[in-house]
Amino acid sequence: MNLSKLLRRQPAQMDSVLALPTDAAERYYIASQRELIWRKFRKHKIAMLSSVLLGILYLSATFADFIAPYDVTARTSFRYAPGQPIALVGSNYTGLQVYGYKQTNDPKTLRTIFDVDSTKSYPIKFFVKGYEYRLLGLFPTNIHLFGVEGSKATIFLFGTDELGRDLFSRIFAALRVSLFIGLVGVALSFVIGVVLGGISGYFGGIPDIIIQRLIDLILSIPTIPLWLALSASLPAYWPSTTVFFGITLILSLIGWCGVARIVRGKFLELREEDYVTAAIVAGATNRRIIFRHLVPAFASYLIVQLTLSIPQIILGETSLSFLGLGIRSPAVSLGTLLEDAQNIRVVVLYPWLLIPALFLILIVLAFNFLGDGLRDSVDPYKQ
Amino acid sequence: MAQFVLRRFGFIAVLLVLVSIISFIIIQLPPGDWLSAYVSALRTQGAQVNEAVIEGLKQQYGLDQPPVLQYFKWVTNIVLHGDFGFSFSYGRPVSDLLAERLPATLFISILTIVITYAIAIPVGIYSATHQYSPLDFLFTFLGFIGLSVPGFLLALILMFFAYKYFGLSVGGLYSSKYMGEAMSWDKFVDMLGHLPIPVLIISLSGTAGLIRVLRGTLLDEIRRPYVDTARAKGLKERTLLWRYPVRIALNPLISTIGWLLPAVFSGQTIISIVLNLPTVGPLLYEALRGQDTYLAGSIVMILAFLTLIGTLLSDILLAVLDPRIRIEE
Amino acid sequence: MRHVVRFVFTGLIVVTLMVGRSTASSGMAQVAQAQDAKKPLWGWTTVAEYEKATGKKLPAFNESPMLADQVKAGKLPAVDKRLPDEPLVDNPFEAVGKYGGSLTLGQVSAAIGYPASNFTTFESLFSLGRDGNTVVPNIAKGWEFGDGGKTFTIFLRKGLKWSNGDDFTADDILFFWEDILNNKELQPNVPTRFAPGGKPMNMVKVDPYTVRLEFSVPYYAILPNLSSVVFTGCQGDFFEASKYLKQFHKKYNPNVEADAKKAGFETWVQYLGAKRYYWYNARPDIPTMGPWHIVKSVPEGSVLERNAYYYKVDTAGNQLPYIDKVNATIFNDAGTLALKMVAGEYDYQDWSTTVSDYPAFVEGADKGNYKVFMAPSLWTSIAAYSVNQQYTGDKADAEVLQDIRFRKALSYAINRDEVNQVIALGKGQPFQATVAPSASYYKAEWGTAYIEYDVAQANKLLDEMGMDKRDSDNFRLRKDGKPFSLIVSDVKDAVPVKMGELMKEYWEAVGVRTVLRATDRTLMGQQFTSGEFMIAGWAMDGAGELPVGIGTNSYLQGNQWGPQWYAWYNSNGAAGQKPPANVERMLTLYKQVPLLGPDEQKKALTEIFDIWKEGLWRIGTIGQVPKPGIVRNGLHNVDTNTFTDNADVGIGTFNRHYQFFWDNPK
Repeated sequence: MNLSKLLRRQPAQMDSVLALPTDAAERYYIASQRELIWRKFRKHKIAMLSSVLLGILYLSATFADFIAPYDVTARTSFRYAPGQPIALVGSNYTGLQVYGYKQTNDPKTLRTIFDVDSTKSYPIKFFVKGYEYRLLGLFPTNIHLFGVEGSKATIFLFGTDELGRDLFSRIFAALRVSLFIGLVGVALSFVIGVVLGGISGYFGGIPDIIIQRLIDLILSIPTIPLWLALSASLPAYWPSTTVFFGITLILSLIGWCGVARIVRGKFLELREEDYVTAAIVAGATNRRIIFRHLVPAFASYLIVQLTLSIPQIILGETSLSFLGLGIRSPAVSLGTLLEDAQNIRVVVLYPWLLIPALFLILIVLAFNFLGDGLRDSVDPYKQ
Repeated sequence: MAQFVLRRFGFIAVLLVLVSIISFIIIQLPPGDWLSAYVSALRTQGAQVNEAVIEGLKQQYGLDQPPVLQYFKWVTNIVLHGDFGFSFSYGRPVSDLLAERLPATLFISILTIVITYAIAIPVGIYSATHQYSPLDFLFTFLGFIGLSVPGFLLALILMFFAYKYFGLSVGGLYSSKYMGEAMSWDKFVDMLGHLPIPVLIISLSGTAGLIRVLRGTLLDEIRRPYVDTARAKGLKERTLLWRYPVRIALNPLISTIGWLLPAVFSGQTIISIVLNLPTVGPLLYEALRGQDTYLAGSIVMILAFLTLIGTLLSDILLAVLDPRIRIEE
Repeated sequence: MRHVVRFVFTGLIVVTLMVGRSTASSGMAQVAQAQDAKKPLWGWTTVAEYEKATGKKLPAFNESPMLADQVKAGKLPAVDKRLPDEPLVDNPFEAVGKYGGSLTLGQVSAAIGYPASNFTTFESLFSLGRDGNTVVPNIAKGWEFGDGGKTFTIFLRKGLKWSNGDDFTADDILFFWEDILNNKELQPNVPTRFAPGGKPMNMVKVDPYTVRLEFSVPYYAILPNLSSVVFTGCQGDFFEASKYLKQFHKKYNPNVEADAKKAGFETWVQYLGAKRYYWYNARPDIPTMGPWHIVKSVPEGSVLERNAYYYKVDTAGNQLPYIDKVNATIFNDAGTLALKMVAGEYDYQDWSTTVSDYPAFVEGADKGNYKVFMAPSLWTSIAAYSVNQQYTGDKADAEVLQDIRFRKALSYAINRDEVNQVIALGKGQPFQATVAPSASYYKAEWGTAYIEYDVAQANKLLDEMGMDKRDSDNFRLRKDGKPFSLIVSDVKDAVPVKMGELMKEYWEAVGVRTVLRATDRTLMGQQFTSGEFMIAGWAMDGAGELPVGIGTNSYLQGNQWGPQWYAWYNSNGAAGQKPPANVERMLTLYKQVPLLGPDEQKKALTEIFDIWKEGLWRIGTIGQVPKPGIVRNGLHNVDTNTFTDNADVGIGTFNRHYQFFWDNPK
């Protein structure tokens, strides 16, 4: 029996030998690592809140069509209209309702101004019929979470854009793309980064040299030319969904290098530790040493990186959109929504079009707090 | 050690060749050349460009030559004469264009880096040693906000509000009335008024990221047994902290020092575009879009070169500072 | 050579160009609209002309205090030594101004774009009056056609000087013609503009102030071809600062290759190219003829100072311009420029703006201390969709595009009133892509052809084409039962951003599956040549009577919609494909247009636009969309109701920046 196996058995053996005084303490000592992490994580209030928030956002992104009262591309004659406030008590009746608009033309600025008119209101109905869509891309339906009825009634909770499209609906459609791009992108760069970084750091020698120089090469080229060149090389005939994957790939292609370097650095540092030497002496396989001993040792560090990476990819996508290289219409992402907001008229006259930025900030914040909480929870030295 | 450095220099030479090829490919990758980009740009503005004039320009700029030949001409001139070629769209040597933008670029970059470190290191250490204290929460929160706001949007909004509520002229490095004038006290004061917004925005996400990394690593280190040992031996808390865990926690910072320049550069490009700063970033962006081959290629290559050197330096630094990282011969 | 005298020395009465009609003639509805009756057309050729025409005596020449100081210090000759013997007397738009102050202008993009610095340095041989149609003297004081239009004589002003004090003479024109345009190393072929009837013209220096052009065929369009229309007749297009440029030219400097290498260029050709002024390439060291010259170029922009040798004076004898200094700043992003305009940091701006920003500009006007105006436009379509007649993709798809019923259906499917509201605040007009309605030969039916919003008609036409069967998504199938997708190349730099999305919706509403393909303008430029696109949007620019009349409107040559025919046109039939009868007729006629006398030209263009209307190769959306501009309160002589389509009407010929002046110059 080798040493590492013996050591791992120790807690169980100790349990059988020693009788512990209380139940709670007992559960603590016999809890699995996963359970321990969960216990600590639950105490981290903001992280918990963040994970709930992200859960809700991911869920609503999945059911974006159900939540959205309007189709993403549906135009109305209400162009640049501000959000309609929700009220419980209106001038006509009591109940959940949204106020309507009063429309005036400003001859000086030549724009149509929509003011909220509290004398007009429309009741909010739940599970109403709206546009046709496929739930989860499978089941055709036209039921939506909420909406208003009647041809004149409108419900633009966050207002409308230049073409009179409902911003609320568009944000949820955009979340679908942006949240997903973050996950896929990070997953890709992490798999590549950990594997290559691990090989590089653990084995050293020729593989290390090759991988390190490859990383040097990729990292040495400034991102903007890389982005420009790579997205220019995406074939023009690709449909917008394929372009979306192409862009995810571009973002993760650059992202993995950082991960790999960090993983390598940690490996270099940790492989000098006694317990690794012990494992080697005990005859553990390389794979076992890497995944059983080394990776867990810097998992917390990886998690900090992971949580920083998802929002970075989401932000990266918005930068691509700013440069005109991002997702192409009619697909929407937070980047394309912000691209529409990046001009003086929005800042001066139509500030509600900046709401997507709030969602972006919220998502990035939530990921960061979540990562922070996870980091503290997986910390092996913390009581 | 010397052998390690020498070997790494050897690698850099190889990488430089690769980088120069990649730079050139990157610029050639989008369809068309400078002239077609130029003519298209003129045409979007309503200029009806004569076909005969286009022919003349093509000949003038040697764009009728195959790309491989253009590449070799460019590289030979750089190696033999230190001549980076000239910019098609500016009709001026690349080195002149870079030289006039270098001071502003370096100034902003260095200022950004200094500010980033000046804030990130103490705040990171404080946050780690005072985990969950009110200030830690505040820093954490501010740091995350910094990470989450897209700089280009923040720049536009800040510019507008600085004007609307404080009547400040923002954007650019100084007011347009000082354009082309030699540095004077008035111009300097004016510049100080213009600096905070760009420096703040450019350093924002970098600072926030560094704080997170530093705090994370330091928290790991502080709970190591050797810290307990040191403490048990009666070392003063402050001495202990600075002598051991902080030094190790700085490792990730040191190992990323090499990419600091391209990171600041990339972050600054988009913000420079919005804030209208006379740095190399917008020049590169414009050159890439206009397919101004030698200008774009030279900037990419110079940056790549600086990054490679930076990486080498940070590796050496890491090896010097942390004896545990052995250099295998 | 015997002159058939058609002497057109101009006074107040101006003889016009190739069309040869007076300004009073009909058919100028829009131009008339765009200007009020009291607007001075331009000025007087010389002091003598002024005195004769007005009966007033021009006071003694006066100069800016800034220059007076330099004269006193002995750094500069006196004002009457700097002015030519016969300066041009300019009629100010509102009033005689005050000297001093500076003008801050902005531009987007350093290398490409209309550099603000060039609005202020641009000067052409002849120019246009404020009506946009009348050619008036400028650098040259007069012209004369002879031999039935086969010769054209240019008369220069004696004592005229470049901004560095060098004399401007016939040599500056001859240098350009002989040593630039006819130097094979610099220019493989002489542009067709200077080779009417396929034979390069001949240039004769009669004396230092007279140049004669000789053509193989009558060529009346040479006059508007030197009058700033589409940037013609300016420095780099017809004359050069020869004394300055000779040091960079191989013929005059045997060591030029070595000099070029030393300066960082590969060849002397590139070296010379970099030292030549063109309207997009002004440099500090290059002398100009414009009202200001660049004294310093930095990455942020250019600083310009008044040209001490500028040849125009106002009606009080003041040497122009009024404003001493110009700061022309460069922006990387149009959004930042717009923000700075709102913040009141710019004195005058009528370019690089979009109509949708108008409300924001108005909103900021009071605090920013400026006025906002909407400048009219000659473009008949802000986005016209070119339907490729030689699509290189699928053959059956190409046939669909070639079917006139398909193009009509696409046109009927567009709700132009809505486009106008969404894109242009309702300030444009639903319009077909054709010649501007201000053209003297304009027919109302050209602009209104197929622009009704008629979904039923569109559906009917598509059904008739045999595209009546639909797929499961309710999109039309091709005649052969296969799916059809209309791929729209969406060039965001060339058309308003939301235009593509609107078109997609309209066309899908009549069952045509539409795919938007975001395309970079460079790639688009190449696809216009290669034919690898189906349909693409681009403005209908160059639509004014003058650009059309001098033969530069490339759309009438097949550009964008018939790549092979365009090649056929440009190679005189040597390359490309011979077009079908109607297109061949149109292209052949258009080739003759610049050579025709006024009446025949009008007839030819009428026939061309009749064919063009029926062809519907470019589907127009909305036209005459005004561009917003701003002008700082206290800046005078600014015409806020004039064209700012600079490419079509010539930079700075409408709003003459040299007339601008401040109430209180600082």
